[in-house]
Amino acid sequence: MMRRDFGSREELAAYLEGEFREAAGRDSQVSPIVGGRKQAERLLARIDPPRYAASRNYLDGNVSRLSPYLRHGVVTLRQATETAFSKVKDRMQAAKFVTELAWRDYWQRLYAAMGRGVWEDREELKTGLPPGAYAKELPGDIAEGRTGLVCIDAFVGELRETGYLHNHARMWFAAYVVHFRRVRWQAGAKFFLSHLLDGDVASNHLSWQWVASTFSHKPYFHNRENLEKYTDGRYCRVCPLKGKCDFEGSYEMLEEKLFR
Amino acid sequence: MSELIWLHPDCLAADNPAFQKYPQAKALFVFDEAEIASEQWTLKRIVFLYETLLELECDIERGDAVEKLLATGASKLVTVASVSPRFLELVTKLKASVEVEILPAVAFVDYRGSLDLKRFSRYWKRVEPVLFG
Repeated sequence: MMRRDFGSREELAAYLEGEFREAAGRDSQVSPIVGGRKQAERLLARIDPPRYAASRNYLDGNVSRLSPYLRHGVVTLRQATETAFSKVKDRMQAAKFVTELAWRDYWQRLYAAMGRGVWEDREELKTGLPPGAYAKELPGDIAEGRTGLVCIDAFVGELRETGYLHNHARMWFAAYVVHFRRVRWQAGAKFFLSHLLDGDVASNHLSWQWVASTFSHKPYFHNRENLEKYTDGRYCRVCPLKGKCDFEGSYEMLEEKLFR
Repeated sequence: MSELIWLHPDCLAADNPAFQKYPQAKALFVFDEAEIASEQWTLKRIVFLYETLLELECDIERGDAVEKLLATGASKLVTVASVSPRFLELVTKLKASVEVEILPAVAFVDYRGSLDLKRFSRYWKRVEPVLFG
């Protein structure tokens, strides 16, 4: 039987590091995000659906950060939905927030139908490139956060340190891995699954497939202008590659460069 | 020993359907080493889950989930449904030796009927009216 008495979080972490040596060997950082229903209820109390709708795409936007708790059933989608509805006069004011909750339900329903098939391409790539054009493994410079792109390296650092990334950062990172570096989505998905506190094969893998275009009509990608806008320029401002990075240019130019 | 609530990583709430139906039953969570290895969890996920478990009335073990659950000698395991293939495989193995009662998870939406899952838009076309009237 494992211990239940700990004087502090540090003591708990030290005990678990000793008990789970392999997991700690992969990465021994402890997230500032605390587990448990009490914290989940604090986050539920802070849900602000109208502000969420207006700001969710910005890194500093009013997002709930409930995903690790939803993933592990600490709170249910139903509870989050009812809380959101309770905070608005008209349910439609919570529509955007509830739609995003619905995505998780949708992924779970697909997982029930697909099982381990979520690890395989659901449809063919729409990038014009053959599957063999994509590397099988995640390059070391990406996993170690030393690509030189300040944004990408910061996302990796945050992911490893906290086990959480804003959804938009996940999308940019996935687009970078799959389209700008031509790596199979599975390699990136595994990396996320390993580090995300909300890592869940259904939501994670199917979202990677959405970016890759094996579960959408077209590949998702971004340009620097888009990333700069939704990050308020925090990375580009200090990036030595600004003006010459992989993401420079219009969508048309990038599409020409990335796909056939 | 009678019923034992089997807590798994998809149902970690004190008011989950298993605790609600069997408020007197003991509960056990097993950190399944095969799952940790397969998904390559890092320490932070384990700390997060452990902190969640410390708020619940349950025992905590690590090792092989099937072995640990059977070793309790419970006559029936009660748990909450999950769609994960790993969960379904564990259920199959456990059912060879012990009765397993699987309670439905709380549904996001009460939708009866089949849903077209080809794209989110098709799913949402059916589900949205149920939520928003």
